[in-house]
Amino acid sequence: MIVDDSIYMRSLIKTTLVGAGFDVVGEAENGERAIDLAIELQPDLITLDNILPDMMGFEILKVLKDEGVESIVIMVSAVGQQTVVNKGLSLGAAEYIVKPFTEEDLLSVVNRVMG
Amino acid sequence: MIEHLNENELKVATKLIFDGLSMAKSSMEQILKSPISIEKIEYDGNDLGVKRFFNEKEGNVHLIKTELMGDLKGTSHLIFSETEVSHLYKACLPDSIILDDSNESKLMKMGFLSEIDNMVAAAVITEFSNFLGIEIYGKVPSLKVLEATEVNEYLADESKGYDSVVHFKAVFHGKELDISPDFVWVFQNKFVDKIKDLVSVG
Repeated sequence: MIVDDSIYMRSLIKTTLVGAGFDVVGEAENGERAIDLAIELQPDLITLDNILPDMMGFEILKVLKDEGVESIVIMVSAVGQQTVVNKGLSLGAAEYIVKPFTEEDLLSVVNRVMG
Repeated sequence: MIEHLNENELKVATKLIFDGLSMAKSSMEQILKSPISIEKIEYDGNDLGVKRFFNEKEGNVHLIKTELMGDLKGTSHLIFSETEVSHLYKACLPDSIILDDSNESKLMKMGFLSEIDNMVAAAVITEFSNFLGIEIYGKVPSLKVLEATEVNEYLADESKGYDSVVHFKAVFHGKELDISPDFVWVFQNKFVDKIKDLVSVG
């Protein structure tokens, strides 16, 4: 499942994942939709932007944990301060990818966490 | 803003802006998959006006605004002319999207520009955040298409409420890219205070 406010970025991530043989089961453009979809779909993996129109990715991580969603979460964000990356990882994200990234970067991380 | 700093403080501010834009340049290189350079950086503490947009021949411009949240309030504006936007599309998007006028393709093009701003602004924000030891983030960018002659009035309105203005412009240049976006930042005075604190400490 892909969470990003930008249709361009969702399309880029989706094309990369589908091209590598993954099924993208859902997309969300804001935090509220992301939480609803994650609870409903329980996807194996969520790529999660950190800055969304209605909330931050950090807040979504906390809600998903409270709701018992066990999906692996990779944060994908342009926000790259080390303190922010560390905060994402400490809240349960498996990895944190800083935009911009290459297709190879994304697939390498996805394959590693899904392995 | 720059005029309110002494020589040492000005050096620190200049280095900070240069390092931030260098990070932005790296982000642009990754997006374009092509080496680019920063041809020049201009900054001005007084004049918020973007000179090229006093000329109505520029036509429409695309202004992407990112508001800061966190320890430092401010706004960044990345501004491309219509021609520059066309160059960016040609360098990065497939013809199937560039030539298509459907709503989805329009959203893709707007999303692409917003992502460029998102990454370029975030690169500068990250540098400022690390250097100044503060926690700042950019909110979701918003895109406005304005007449060139409306840009300076828009920026003047945007800067109301801020007591400190930093205006810097980067000219990026590359093989597949020949653009010179204006990158206008407006900060509250805390930005200047932080630099003064850093210099006085060490």
